Amino acid sequence: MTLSSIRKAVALTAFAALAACGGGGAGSASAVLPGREAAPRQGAVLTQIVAVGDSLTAGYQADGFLGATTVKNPLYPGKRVHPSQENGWWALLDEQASGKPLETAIAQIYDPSVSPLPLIQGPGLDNQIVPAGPSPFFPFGQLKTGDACTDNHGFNQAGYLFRGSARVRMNPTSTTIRNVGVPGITLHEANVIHQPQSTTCSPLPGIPGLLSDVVAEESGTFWPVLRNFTNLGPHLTEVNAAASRHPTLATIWLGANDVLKYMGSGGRFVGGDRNPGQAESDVRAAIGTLQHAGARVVVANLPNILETGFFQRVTIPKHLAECKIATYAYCMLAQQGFSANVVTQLARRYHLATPQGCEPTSLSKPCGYLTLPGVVEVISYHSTTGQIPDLDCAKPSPHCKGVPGSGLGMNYITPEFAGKVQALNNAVNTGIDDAARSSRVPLVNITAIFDGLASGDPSNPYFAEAASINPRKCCTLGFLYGILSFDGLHPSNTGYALIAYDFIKTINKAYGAQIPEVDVQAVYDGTRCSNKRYCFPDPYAPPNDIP
Amino acid sequence: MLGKFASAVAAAVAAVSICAFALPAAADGTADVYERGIVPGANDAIKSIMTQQQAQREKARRQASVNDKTVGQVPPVQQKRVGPKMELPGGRFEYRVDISAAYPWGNIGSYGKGWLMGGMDASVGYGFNWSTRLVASMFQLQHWPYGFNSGLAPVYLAGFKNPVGCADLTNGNACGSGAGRNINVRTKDTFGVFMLQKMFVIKSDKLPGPVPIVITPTYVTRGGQIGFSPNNNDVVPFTYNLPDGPVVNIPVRTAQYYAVALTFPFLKTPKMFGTFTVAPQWLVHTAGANVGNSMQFPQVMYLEYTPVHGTTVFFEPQSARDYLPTDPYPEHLFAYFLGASQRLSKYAFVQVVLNSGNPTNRGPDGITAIKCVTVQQALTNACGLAIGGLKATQLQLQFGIGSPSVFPL
Repeated sequence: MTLSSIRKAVALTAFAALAACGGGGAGSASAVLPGREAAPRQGAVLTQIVAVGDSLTAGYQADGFLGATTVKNPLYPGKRVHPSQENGWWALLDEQASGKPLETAIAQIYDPSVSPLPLIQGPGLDNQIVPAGPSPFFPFGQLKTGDACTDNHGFNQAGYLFRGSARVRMNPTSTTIRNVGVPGITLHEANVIHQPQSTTCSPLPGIPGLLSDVVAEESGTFWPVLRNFTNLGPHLTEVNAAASRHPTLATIWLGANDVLKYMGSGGRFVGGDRNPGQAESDVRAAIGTLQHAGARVVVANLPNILETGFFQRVTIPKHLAECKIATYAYCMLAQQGFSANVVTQLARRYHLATPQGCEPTSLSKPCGYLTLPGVVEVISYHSTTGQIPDLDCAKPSPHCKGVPGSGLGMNYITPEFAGKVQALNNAVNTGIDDAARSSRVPLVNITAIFDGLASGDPSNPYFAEAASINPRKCCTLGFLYGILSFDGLHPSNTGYALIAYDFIKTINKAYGAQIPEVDVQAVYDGTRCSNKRYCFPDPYAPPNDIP
Repeated sequence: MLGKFASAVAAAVAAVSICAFALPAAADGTADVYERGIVPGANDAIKSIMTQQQAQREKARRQASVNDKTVGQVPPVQQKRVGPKMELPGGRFEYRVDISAAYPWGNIGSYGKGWLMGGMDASVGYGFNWSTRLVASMFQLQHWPYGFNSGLAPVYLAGFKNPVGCADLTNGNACGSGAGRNINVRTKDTFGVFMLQKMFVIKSDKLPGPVPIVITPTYVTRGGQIGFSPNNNDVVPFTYNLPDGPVVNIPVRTAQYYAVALTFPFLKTPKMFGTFTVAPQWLVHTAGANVGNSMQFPQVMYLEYTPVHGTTVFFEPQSARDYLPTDPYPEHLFAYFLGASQRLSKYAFVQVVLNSGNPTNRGPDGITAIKCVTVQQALTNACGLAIGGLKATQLQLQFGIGSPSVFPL
């Protein structure tokens, strides 16, 4: 385990996957109802639930996409790597809506022969960040310690090809897949691409290699998720795959990658949906396809991604207690012995400072950030050289002189650029909201959940509910404080449960369903079922997250 | 992944994909069928007939004049009036062969400047009777169309609504270092034209004399070669209906047409000659991006001036229609041909023609975008080109031999 490897892992997460985290719970803490008994008989709307989305819907955590429960953690002997897919919000929703006893419903989610999830074999796709055991240095590292593309006999590479994708699936010939969320996919891609844009995770020579980075995530997960829908021929798309299941209820949660790909490229990649009209058009297209197939539809909007732990403000918090509420670069750096002066120097050097103050989601007073990979780079480089790295260098070294601005998006976010990222985030959300309104489908307001969690306001119901899960220990939005997994973008088990909670609430209200609410506390505690392979304490939430 | 990527993405991306394209080109096409096939044949027939009429009228007038001077003792005899003899020019067989070279003009960038690959024209005709002739001909046209090696083009990647970068078609760095590239779109179109020329003569007291018209049912088949095509033909990657349309390898310069041309004269003096041709035409079948196949109605005017025997200057403006597999709907071209011919001997001639065509209903010209379905396509020059209007201007030089009667002299 090395810091540089962690950096890679986190960096990878940023792009490919979706971001956004999940957020907070229901309208009030008391609204979190136990859901461990047999559910009441459900209406017809719950007969066949499908999911259209990205990594957030797929159940992606800590830069890993894993369904298997038997993967051993090489960095922490005796421990196993926790699966991510079965702990996503959609799995929770499907279990709760199944009408079966939770023990049975959860067991079926894990059972490759009947699971609605495209369960991924160990060691999982991409490169999951896992606990590294008690360490004097850094508490986690990457599951695949070598070249993630070729490790494990090219496991990740296998996902890029249709034939190879059989190898990465626990249920390669399944006919029961209903969650077709493809990690890394964008709004428009979900409607139109019928094959991956790249066939390899290996570096490509020359400039095309850079282009391949933009689409690496969805290229490596497209076939693993959609390999069972090739009967659609040239009409195979994620949305069409979901529609082909004759759904009665469909969830759509897309758009985060349109923001993330722009952010991660430092604003250079502008291929994704860029304005409300484009986003609305794509969401409406997805809604139309699914409605035409007979489904009732629920749509979710995006959190403000700048509120996630991936983005670490360069302002110095007045009290370290603020690190629980929001993520500051100083919080991580201070734990490694850095002074506040280092953060100030970095802010000055990369034009991140906002002397007049800032507001994270503001267009007029945006904040400057170091990204999680940027902070990890600082810690890693300093630990070996005693120096602060040049964050404009692709591979910092003593002799590297980076081109100013090269590290934008990857290692830092200037206030100006943060404003642009937020503007795009707003535009996509406006498009999603417009599409939901014009199509008259209910909207799950994830933005409100996240804003509530980020507010730190005890009177905010979302914040109050999350903070009450394990008072003074969990759960808040700061990095490693329980809502997000180790990549700083994707939710923890608890974070996903809060999201599932709001989906269920919205579905019940809009369609008169009676889905029992998910027990967020039980998800955190790992007590939803008796099988400890399936139900375990949230590995990303304190005090269970890191040794 | 965000890493270095961030430092160069857009430009790089664009550049990358640039290499992926190469496309065909074309600017004019069908217009040449009329200029070099249908109209000359009809014009020759009409001019020949009208010249014959003129000669016969002159002969008759001289005969009458002689008769007037020999009156006297001879009793007046009612002579049989000599009517005009009308038939298509030349003998039963006609032929013509020439070789040509061309030089492109206009906004094509510096890469394409230079003489284009050589071409050849050939024609053979067989006359069944005085009014009917079957003609088979082939000709080649070389050009380098506008917009393929100039300017910038957005680059799309499948799955995204907006361009992911741009490509500098001038081989410059406007889209980032290394993002420029030239494309060899030197094009040689080859046409096969099969015509049945049928002449009719309209007589009316209201007309100054018999008026010949020529109706020419025609079948045209065309193909081409594009410099960039790996197989020395016109099959290249092409895309349409951006941003989500397919990238397909199709013969972008290949098409077949039916046409029925009607040519009639409006001017004939000893030194000048003019005709007008209208020609309803249809595709034999649609292909590529073609959406419909409604009747097209090209129109051709031809004006000729012969200052001295053996030398001809001509101007031929057209309202032409081009409907290639790259066109979702027909291009309405304003095209013109300005040329001069000089007979070198009884059987040899040289001709120089400046021609240009410009679509009035499509734009911009040349490459409007580039689309890659996969990243790997950028490495293998397989990204598709989206094409707007096709415009080209070239000066063509022809050296040929043939039956004297088929010379446009």
